Amino acid sequence: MRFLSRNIITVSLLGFLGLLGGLLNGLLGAGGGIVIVAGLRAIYKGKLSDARSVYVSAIAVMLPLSLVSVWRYAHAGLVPQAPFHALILPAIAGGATGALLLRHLTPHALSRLFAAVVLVSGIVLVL
Amino acid sequence: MWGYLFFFAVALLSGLGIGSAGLPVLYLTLAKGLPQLTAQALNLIFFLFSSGAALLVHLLRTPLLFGAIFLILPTGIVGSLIGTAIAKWMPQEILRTLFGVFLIVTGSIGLFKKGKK
Repeated sequence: MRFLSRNIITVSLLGFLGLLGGLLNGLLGAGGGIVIVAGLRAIYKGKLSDARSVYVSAIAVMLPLSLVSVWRYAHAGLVPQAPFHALILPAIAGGATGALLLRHLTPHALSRLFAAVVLVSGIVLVL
Repeated sequence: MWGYLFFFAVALLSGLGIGSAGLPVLYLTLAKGLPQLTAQALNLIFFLFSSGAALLVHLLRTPLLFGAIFLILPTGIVGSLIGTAIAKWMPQEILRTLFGVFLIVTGSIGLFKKGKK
C-alpha cells in the first residue's frame, strides 16, 4: 500500500511538473525547463548514477512542448516571415559546443554568473 | 556580428544545462525592438535548435529518464496549449512584466541557493 501511495505521489508530481512547465513555456516562451529541472532534481535526489540525466531528460521533454508552443504561436501569426540564420546557426553551434563541454567544465561558477545576469535583466525589464 | 555571438553564447549555456532563461527574448525586445510575443516565439524556435543540437550530443553519453519523460509529456502538452491561449489574450505589457518577474525570481534563486561546487 505504501509502495502504491508513494508511486501515486510521484506520478502526480511528475504530471503537475509537466503542466507547470508547459504553462510557462506557452505563456512566456521560456522557463519551463527551469521548473522541470528543479522538480526532477527534487524527485530523483540521490537516486541517479548520473545527475546529468535530469538536464538531458528536461531537454527531451521541453523539445516537444516547445514545438507545440511554436505551432500555436505560428497559428496565431506571431512567427515573423524572416530569415532565421542569425538565430539558428549560432543556436546549433552553441548548443552542440555546450553539450560537448559539459563533461569538462564545472557549471557552478557559470550558473552563479548567469543567475546574476538574469536577475539584473529582470530588474531592468520590470523597471 | 554581435547578434551571432550573443546567440552562440546563450546556446552554449543551454547546452551546458544552465538554460537561456529567456535572454533571447530580452535581446529581441530591447535591442531589436520586437513585440513581446514575437520575441517569445523566436525564443522558442531558438530553443528548438540549440537544445536539439545539445540533446543529440548528450544522448551519446547520458541516459534519459524515460519513465519521467512519458509521465511529464501529456500534461506538459496540455500546459503548453493553455499557456499559449492565455498569452494571445493577455496585454503585451502585462506579459512583459510577468516575464521580468520570472527573470528576477529565477536569477535570485540561482544566485542565492547553496549548491555543490
